[in-house]
Amino acid sequence: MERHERYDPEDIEHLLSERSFDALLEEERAYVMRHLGGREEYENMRALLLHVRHDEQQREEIEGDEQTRDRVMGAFRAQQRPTWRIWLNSLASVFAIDEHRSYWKPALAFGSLAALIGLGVYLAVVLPGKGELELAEVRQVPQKTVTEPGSSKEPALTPVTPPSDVAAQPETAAAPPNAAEAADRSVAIEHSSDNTGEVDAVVRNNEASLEEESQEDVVGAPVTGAVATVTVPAHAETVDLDDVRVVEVRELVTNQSMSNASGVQITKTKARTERSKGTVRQRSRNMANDPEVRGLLAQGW
Amino acid sequence: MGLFSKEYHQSSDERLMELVVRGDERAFAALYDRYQRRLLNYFHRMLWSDRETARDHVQELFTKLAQRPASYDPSRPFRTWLFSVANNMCKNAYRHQVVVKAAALELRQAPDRVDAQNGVEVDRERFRDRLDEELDRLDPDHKATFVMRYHEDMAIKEIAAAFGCSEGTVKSRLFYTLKKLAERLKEFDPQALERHGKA
Repeated sequence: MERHERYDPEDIEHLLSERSFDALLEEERAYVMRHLGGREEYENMRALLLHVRHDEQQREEIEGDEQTRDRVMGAFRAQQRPTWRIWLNSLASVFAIDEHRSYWKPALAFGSLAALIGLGVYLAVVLPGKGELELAEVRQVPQKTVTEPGSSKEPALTPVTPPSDVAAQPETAAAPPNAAEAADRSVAIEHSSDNTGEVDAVVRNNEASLEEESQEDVVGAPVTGAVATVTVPAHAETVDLDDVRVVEVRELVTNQSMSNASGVQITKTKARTERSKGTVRQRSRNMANDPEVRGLLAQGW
Repeated sequence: MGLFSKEYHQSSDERLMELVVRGDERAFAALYDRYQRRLLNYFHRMLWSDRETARDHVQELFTKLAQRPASYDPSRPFRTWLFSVANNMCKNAYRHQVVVKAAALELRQAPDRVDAQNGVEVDRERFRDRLDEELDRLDPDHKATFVMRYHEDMAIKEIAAAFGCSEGTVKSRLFYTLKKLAERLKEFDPQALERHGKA
């Protein structure tokens, strides 16, 4: 049976490294002769192989420079530096993530997106409500409030007169119908900001007192607003309540722009009953006759 | 989790590459320091003994590694993978430098061979030049196989892994390369070469 040798030149390389042609055994020489032309070729290859191996070890090796190293390390740092661009570019990888280490990029992207959405909701919902509150505070008109603590005869409504004419007012309003119900009332007097000739009197009632009033009111008419505003011409030396026009809450609701143009200020609307015109006039007259109120007004001015 | 400075130099290539993929700069620096010199000399041998070209290729290779560390296949030994990348870069360089290579061969054929033909004394430098010249004439794969085997002292198995071929193919390439070089360099006295090699 014919023997089939495996073609393995590395075996010849081993022989070339170790033995000369003359030192080969008979079997090794026969093996070499099957792959090489003869003794001369074997010796040439052997000489070359030995010289190459020796020469490769003797060759002077070149060294790398620091500049190349710096550039390479700079490229690595630049690559590792996070960029905000990645969250847009990596959207596609969200749906086809091939490696687990790529998860942090979509996580960062969605985290940023969630933060932006949260910020947008905050700006759209929370801040507008806060702005309305601030607007209400801005519109609140600074006013002088004269309050007599502990006074049982504090009027509910105060006729407004120019400060110099307060003492000269004889009788412009009637006394309050009930002294007890006026204990918690406050009287606010103010001038309009443009000072064009109108003086507004704003009477503010708190909710509790209005509830009491609604029960004890002589007229008994239901009142839906807590504010009754009396507008008095500034040029009038004496306030004539017959000329005073009382603006009702109902009118302000129907045409608020008109009320703003006339300088009427609404300070508070919390009551559940409505006051009639006659009641307001009567109480204004009562307050005008009260010397204590007139004295307080004079001191306030 | 990172490693201490001493451990970077003791860690395997594959372990360092894991850290590089996670963005560990010191691991990348350790790999660079470990292989830049070998790759520089490999490129120097493969790319017409041009130092600047060799440096450029080393920089390009490690820049690619820095920008795309995930391109490394963890199932392969890092060393063979690195040399396979380097070998592919050399092939690309050959394609783009055909004209330059031809010009370089023309220049190298100029020296006379009088002394070698007389067989008096083998000039080491002249032999190197002739060897490099003949290597440049070889097929790129045969040349790379020869350089890896006798310059980088890589095992047959490693070379086969770098080329993605069988060990038999590598042995065959080495045998025919050695045979061809011996025939082309036979003007040098084999005995003188052998004595020179043993010296």
